[in-house]
Amino acid sequence: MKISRRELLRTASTGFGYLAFESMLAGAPHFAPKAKNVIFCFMPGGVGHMDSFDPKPKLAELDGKAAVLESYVAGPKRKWLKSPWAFKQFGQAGLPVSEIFPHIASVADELTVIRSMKSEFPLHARANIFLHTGRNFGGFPSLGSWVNYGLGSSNKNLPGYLLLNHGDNPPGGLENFSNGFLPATHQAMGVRAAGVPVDNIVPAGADLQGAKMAAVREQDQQFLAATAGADAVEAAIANFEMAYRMQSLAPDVLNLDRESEATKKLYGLDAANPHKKAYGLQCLRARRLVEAGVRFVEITPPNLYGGNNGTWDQHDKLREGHETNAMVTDQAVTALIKDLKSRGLLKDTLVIWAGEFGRTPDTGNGDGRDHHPFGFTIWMAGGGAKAGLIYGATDEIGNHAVENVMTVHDLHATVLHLLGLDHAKLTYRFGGRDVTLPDVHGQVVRALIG
Amino acid sequence: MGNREDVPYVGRLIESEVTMRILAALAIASLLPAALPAAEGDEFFERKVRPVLAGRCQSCHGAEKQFAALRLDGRESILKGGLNGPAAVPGQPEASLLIRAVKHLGPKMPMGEKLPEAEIAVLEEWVRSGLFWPAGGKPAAAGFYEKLLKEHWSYQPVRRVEPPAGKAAHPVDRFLDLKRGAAGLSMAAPAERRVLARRAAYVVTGLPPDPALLERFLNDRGPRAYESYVDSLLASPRYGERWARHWMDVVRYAETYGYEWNYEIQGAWRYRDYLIRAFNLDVPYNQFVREHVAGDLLGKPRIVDGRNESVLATAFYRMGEMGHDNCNQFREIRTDVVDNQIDTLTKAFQGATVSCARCHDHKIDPIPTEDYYALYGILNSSRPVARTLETGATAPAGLAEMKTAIRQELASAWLAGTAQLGAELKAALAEQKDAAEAAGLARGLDPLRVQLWSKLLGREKLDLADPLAVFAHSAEEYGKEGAARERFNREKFVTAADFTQGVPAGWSAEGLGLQAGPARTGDFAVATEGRGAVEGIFQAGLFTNLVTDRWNGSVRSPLLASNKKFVSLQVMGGKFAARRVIVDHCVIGEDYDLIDTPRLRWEKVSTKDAAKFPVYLELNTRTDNPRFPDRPGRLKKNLDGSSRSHFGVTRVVYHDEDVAPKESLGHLEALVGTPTPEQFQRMVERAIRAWGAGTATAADVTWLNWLLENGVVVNSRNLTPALRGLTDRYRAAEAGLAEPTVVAGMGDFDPGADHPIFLAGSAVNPGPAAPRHFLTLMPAKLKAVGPQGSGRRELAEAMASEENPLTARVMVNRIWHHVFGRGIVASTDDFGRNGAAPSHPELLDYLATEFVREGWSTKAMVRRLVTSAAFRQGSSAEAAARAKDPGNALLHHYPVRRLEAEAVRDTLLAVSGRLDETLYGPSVQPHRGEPQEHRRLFQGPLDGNGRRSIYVKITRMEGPRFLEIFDFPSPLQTRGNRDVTNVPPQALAMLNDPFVMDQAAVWAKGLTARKDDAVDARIGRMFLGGLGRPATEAELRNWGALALDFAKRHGAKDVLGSERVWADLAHTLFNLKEFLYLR
Repeated sequence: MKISRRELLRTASTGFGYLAFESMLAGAPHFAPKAKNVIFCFMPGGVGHMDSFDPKPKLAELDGKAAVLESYVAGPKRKWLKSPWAFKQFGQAGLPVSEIFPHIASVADELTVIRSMKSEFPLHARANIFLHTGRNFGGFPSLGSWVNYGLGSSNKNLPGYLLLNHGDNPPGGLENFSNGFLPATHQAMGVRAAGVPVDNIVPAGADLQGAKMAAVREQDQQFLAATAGADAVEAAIANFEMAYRMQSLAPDVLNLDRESEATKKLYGLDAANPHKKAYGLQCLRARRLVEAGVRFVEITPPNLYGGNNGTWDQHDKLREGHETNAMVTDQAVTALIKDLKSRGLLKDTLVIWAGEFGRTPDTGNGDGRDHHPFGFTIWMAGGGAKAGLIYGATDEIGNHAVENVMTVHDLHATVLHLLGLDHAKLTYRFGGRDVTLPDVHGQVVRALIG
Repeated sequence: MGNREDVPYVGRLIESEVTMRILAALAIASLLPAALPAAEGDEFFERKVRPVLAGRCQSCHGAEKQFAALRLDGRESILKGGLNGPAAVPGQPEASLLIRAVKHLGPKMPMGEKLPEAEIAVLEEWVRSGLFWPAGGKPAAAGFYEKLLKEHWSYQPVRRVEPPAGKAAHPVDRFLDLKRGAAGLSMAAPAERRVLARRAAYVVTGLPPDPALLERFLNDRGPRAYESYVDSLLASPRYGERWARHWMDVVRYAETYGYEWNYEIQGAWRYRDYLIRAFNLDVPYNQFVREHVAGDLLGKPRIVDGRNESVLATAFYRMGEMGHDNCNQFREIRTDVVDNQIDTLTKAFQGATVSCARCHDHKIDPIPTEDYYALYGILNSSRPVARTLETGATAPAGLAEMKTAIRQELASAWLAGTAQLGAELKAALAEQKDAAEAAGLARGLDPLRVQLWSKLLGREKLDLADPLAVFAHSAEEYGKEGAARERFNREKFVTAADFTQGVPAGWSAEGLGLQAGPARTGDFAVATEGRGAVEGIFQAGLFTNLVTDRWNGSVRSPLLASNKKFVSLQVMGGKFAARRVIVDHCVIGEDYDLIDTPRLRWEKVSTKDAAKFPVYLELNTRTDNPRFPDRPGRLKKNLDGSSRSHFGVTRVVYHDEDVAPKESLGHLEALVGTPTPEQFQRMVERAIRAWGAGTATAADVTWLNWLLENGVVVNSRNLTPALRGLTDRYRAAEAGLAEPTVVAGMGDFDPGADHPIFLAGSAVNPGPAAPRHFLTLMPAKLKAVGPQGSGRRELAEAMASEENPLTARVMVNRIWHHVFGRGIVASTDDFGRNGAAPSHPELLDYLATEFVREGWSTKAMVRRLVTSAAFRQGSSAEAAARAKDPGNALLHHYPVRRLEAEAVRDTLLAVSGRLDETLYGPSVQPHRGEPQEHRRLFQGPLDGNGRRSIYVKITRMEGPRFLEIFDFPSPLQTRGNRDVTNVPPQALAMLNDPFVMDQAAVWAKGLTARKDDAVDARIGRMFLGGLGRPATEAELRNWGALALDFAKRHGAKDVLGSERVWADLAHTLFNLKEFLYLR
């Protein structure tokens, strides 16, 4: 009979103490990994690629002329729209960066910019879930869950997949961060920027907890004996102790008291804008969590406009929206790269900056751009990705990815590869088959590996 | 990386897993001609080989071009080869031209750059392993499926098995004893009575035992004490709640569609109530299956309280996630919905993973892609629509008479107001020519009325159909125009439906408001709110508000033809009634408009999608519109909570030009030529009188509506005191009418149609049609589906059949799973070859046979299992037994289990005294961290008003947080076997969650209310209430000391009176593993 890890977790036989049992959670890479951890800076809503890292001078020529574009939004009244922002080249590779990202521009040489990303869905929820799980509908495990399933956590007192958010999730909701059918230990635990960061982490009646714990411990030992040492009870007792410790440990990891003023400033925690400050806080926490051994940290930006579409979704007011979103995130993302590097953590930590799609090179209202999955830009840094690389290209108006097209499945395969995991071998049996993150698709893009 | 020393063990484990897989693969391989096993070969081919062939070779050696007469797009053509001979020799890469060419050993291929080494290696490996090709879409050689059908256990008929000989009294135990004994193991000692009582109460009802019932059981020393205790549990309504919830996991129960806006699944909670009733009534499972699959098509549906209970079961199809966009744009919205329906339908009832065959033939089980699309055809031949459950609407006695009285009173009031009409009109007509004469004529008349006529006469561009136009146009003009209109209407339009006589074939009308059939000419609706007396006077046709606008209605067209560009409907209505175009069954698509017009008018719809998709029209009152309430911003004020809504429809036409039918001039026939104001008055009076007498013609109704619209007669219920009184009485009676019961369900409206196979699962790549039939793996006589209708009726019978090898087995296994914590087949939703093998196959067949014999009674099966000795044994495992059978497959002890999510929450409520035992009803919103109203994630009370967890609303995008912490499943797929995890958020919730703290406080309030207690007695009561057992002496001492300690810390002098002390003790007790675990 085949025994899965999950089965083993359920039925572990006697002789294992809980800790040994828990270490079964730790997987092992398939081959020598380049990266150990991932920080995913998700940019939901769709950043205009021609407004960020993929300049299209041709659009300046065409600006205002009738647009002929084969697209789901094609229509008679559409016009080409040039980027409202100037680009300059940065770093040794001469990476063009839009003026809305002055900080990111300063770390150009650390970036692996992929300008030929392709998704399949021009709708937020579908595209978000696709980017996270390789499927366009819910119920499947997210990249962060797969990574934890594959590698296990290296801190037994903290979950391996944390979602640093602002109490609001992008379209597709928690399905984006779900463990799907993987064991629930691999689901993302949310950590909010404002207020109490984790549900139930603050002890209720802290002064009495010690006394309660003591009574519970004694009583639980009797119960354990009454069940002749049932594994389930033993594991629950150990879990209870871990939770008890987490009450102090988790806040400790999230506590920034021991960070220097310089570091806090680097992340923009002195910013007047509350959103910028909140995002900076989450980026700094991400570094601390990775330091503490958390495998996968995802950071979502504050939802500035309160819609159900993702904060970068500028169908109108492109100028104002993109500038404000960039202002909120630019400094802290850059700080994360700089800080990781100065601590020697960047080589082990893959930072991914990506949205679910880009934006159209044309406009229906002259004021914004629409959803665009056919070609867009993302970037990575650290974690064994080839620094200072510009990979792939879209056509001259930024419509289709035409050179070195990279699919979302390819991205997943490549990220897993950097972590020492073979996407075809990282399987979980569910619904009658061995399921993988990229399903039957996905190729490792070796050109991106440093 | 945790404990390093354990890694080697992990390594070993993984290694052995791989070995097992290879062995399994080899076992399959022996059945095949090619060297690679089907599944592996196919996967290798699809993932590695095909991309190389397609990307590098086939543009020159494929279907379009055949350089060197060579094709590399099929195994046969490769073996045959081209001008240079065979392209490959299976098993011999070095002798294969293809390999030599790509390695540049001789001919250099492909043209241009040499292939990357990795791709060459793939081709080499492929040739070496036998040149596997998925022949004809089949993953394996012919005979593979046939062999599986003959060999795999679950496809064989259920055997009639006699229980083996043995000492045990209970037949189930004799099966278990035999196997356990053979392994040299024995059962654990019987559980203590209290332990057993608690266990049985949770298994049967999901709650701790009722103290009185427990007491009775403990005091009953008779031989059948336990059996009668079990019977009491089974008779409790809590049983239905418990087992309904189990089933809800199987059908991915949810109350919203999720995705971006979380639209409500209409009446989803009523399906939950259906389940509770069905389990409590012990509806035979075969009937339960029939109702789920085709409850709307049963000859004799079950009627409960005047509602069609059977139709309600079809709501289960509708519980899946669904996007709101248009399917003509986003095809996968529909294909994913059907995929999820096929998946749920086949997993729930058959333990079969049919959705694996969406893109290719099932690799492991004998489920060809044709099966998948055969079911797709069946489901796609039905419509997901709103069903009205009432079998008949009865307007209360007297309502019709009241209506007649209102009509008569209104007509006479109107006649009183039109007595001077001729004179008024005459004066107004004169005003156009001669002011002085007009002044004379107006003398003695109401100047406002004369003004009204002047205004009406002064309108620009009067259409000839307007009665006042008769004064400006000659008889000849009328004759010409009338004929022209008639010709125009005849030539440009084809009638699609005429509702004046009823509902034409292919169309349907559903809902309380339409049950009485079409309105007769002149029928009308009494206004149910506001100052008006009537809501409209109608032509013949379908009108939903003849009794009340709180009654619902839906009119549905047949599938639209695409040979005409447009279809136009003559409609009227308001209050969020909608006209919707349903493309490819995407029922919450964006494409709909409100019907918001007080008089009939033509509204046009394009038929452009009908060539490509099944498209139909639907007119709905708001209750029936699945998009209602719409998302914020799309419709204003659509959350007013009212159900009032109405529409009417009289005719539907097809046409090609962008024009509408013209109104006929027939109602003016008697006037044209040389009309006089006196004649005009007689026409008006005739119309009003005829209407008042109930004999109005279509022309009269046209006149009346013209009079009303133009204020010639006034639509006010205050015209006379009698009218006011009558309408008051009507409104009072109307207010007492019950609302309709509307639920998302299924219905058959169209002739069935086979569906094309989507090649490789892609909707843009349709292949040949798959004839509708049931699964290939079924016995021959269960497979056929008739050509008429969708085929769901036949499907239902095939699934409910005693000869179905899976239905009874799958269900008894589900019951076993819930009773013993693990199924005889551990993979409850997969009885295929990938699933687990049964631990006790004979027992499973015995139970399946008994299940059917006892009338498919779920209760009888639960009773049978919980009265076995295996259920009644203790939960302590012997070390030797653990070593031999660590998974406890042989049931050498009763497994210790954590309470499920609902049981944790319900127990807290029950123990604290907060539990509200009300059955049924709309769900309570879960308590949320932060509500997000734009996503319909509304805030609910912390304690859910004390309702059991089954009544907490399951909203997609964010489920009930407290339950999810304890492995409550996400409602996306069939989940007959929940995860049981042990993660910190669970312990943190018990330690700190406000709901837990709140329940501790509620319990403390109840405890401290008893003034006559001693500390000991109260602690004893807590143990009895919380743990189902008395406290020991030592526990009384320890907890007594703890109480004093808490009192000291709180500075409480009166220990017994301090709620804080007892809340802390309660909270401590909630954190005991004994509280959370069942043994």
